[in-house]
Amino acid sequence: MQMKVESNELGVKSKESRAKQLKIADKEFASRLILGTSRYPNPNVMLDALEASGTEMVTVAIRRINLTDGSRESLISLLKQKGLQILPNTAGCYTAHEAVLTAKLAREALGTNWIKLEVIGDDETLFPDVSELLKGAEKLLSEGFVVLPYCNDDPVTCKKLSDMGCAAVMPLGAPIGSGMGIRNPYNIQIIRELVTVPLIIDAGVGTASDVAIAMELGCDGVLLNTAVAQAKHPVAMARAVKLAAEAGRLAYEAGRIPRKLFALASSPVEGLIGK
Amino acid sequence: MNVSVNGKEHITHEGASLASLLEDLSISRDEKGIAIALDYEVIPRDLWERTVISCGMKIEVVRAVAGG
Repeated sequence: MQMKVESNELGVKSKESRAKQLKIADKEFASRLILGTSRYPNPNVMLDALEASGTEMVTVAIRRINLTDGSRESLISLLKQKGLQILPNTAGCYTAHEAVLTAKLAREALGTNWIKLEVIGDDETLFPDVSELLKGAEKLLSEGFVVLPYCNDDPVTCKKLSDMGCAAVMPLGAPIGSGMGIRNPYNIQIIRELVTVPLIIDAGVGTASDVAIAMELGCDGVLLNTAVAQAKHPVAMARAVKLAAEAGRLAYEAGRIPRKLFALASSPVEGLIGK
Repeated sequence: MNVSVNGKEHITHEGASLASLLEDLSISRDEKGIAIALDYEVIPRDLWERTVISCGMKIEVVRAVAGG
């Protein structure tokens, strides 16, 4: 009976946390996942995967219009029809100047002042350029943008971004598209302790367990693209990461046991036969 | 006169506006989800008609695409 009561209490808590999972700036989201819109086999699979993931916010890139091809895909209208919030990004920018211009173009094109700020420092690793990132974030914040910066898993950088007013910090788990998971969970835990804004793992997720680990470390959300889009079955993987986010968060809230080097028997040691 | 549009040379008439340039490029000025920068400054849609471009200017016409 006691166990049943506890189970119900946990169920109620779970429902409550589902109702307002993630708050960024002035917006609340029922899902802790933000998904990319690239590299899916086709738009239908993408839409089905986004739905299966439960996400309410997706990221898009800003690129030059192809002047020789007038038949432009209507990606944004497809996403808006699904009620998804659009989070434009500055992917591909290598300087603060490029990123700020891209953010302003995105604001004009899409009517949103939210921006996923990426300033890349190296085209092989796609690691961020920290000094340019900080410069770009400062400029965009001064112009009224809601800035969600993709950054290194560096506690000092994350603290600076949080202190200057970014709406979240989004450290990488591993290089973009690498699927290597969270390579430095200890830094992520330190970042969790240092920043008060939402902490979102951006990049590196390879499969559902990586999402669960991010959640268990106390992250508020995960942004992922390739792990879903390039999975053998993207829609199934989207559902898997949704469940992983829920399970991981619930485990975080439930509070894991401390790790011990030696065994601790679960069964009673009294009343053993022959003793 | 020569201007640069999305990194490529384009010839348009003297006194052309951003709106008339779009017409040259067969892009409807009502097309949603596009934005324009002129010499690295974003020009709001309601100023396209009266923004005159001059020789050598760099114009970027962009839109949102799939990304991660």
